[in-house]
Amino acid sequence: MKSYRKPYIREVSRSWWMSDPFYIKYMVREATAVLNLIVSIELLVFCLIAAIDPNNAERTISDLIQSPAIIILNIIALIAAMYHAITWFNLMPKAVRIFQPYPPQGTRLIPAGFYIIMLWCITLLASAIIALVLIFAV
Amino acid sequence: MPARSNEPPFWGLFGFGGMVIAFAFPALLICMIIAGFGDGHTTFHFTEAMSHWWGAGAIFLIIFGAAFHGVHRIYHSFHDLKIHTGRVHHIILYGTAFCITTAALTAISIYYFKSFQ
Repeated sequence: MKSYRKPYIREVSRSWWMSDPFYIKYMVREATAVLNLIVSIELLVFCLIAAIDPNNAERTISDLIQSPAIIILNIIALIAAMYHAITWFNLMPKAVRIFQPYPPQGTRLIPAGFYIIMLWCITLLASAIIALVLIFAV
Repeated sequence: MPARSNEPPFWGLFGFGGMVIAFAFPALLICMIIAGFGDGHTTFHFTEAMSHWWGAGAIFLIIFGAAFHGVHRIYHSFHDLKIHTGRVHHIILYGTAFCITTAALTAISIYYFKSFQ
């Protein structure tokens, strides 16, 4: 069906998000996805090294992460991952809306702080496990 | 009948990946940076983790989640950058994530089953 509507669409410049710190923060949050994707490719490269040359993989990967370019990439990716975690956890209570299981029932939502604190506790636990496995080889 | 959107499964993967990244990436990157500065004293025991079923599984889930999370966010950010997305963008981006996932699964399986020999 052909539409005869001719709505007025205001021109928006490509740099629309530069005008407001709120929009800049939004775009930075979206840009963290690029770095997260790069890190996932980096981990894939480690896996490929391990599959191709299993005997020397530990040495090759260690040499790789000691190269200045990878260290700089990792530091930038760490900042991005932290920003992602902060914004992601703050977003969680907006997406998951569950009523309090205790009185007054069915009227009040579980407070946002509860989700955020729980998620950071899980992150702390996961971080401890990762550090034990990867650095201390427990 | 209108065509159904294929958005829900991709959104689900985006949510899963976002969770995985938030939980695992900061610690993973801190470990990598520490091992990067320590010249030989602190090693990055990545392959050792890969030789256990739980380590191999965790590494696969991290790569899989992060790849699909990344491409989904990039795909939707194209709109904000005034790039109109179509089927081609969809295939290229989610295809990339699919390739990363498949390659990771293959590499992890090869290493895991070799480590038994």
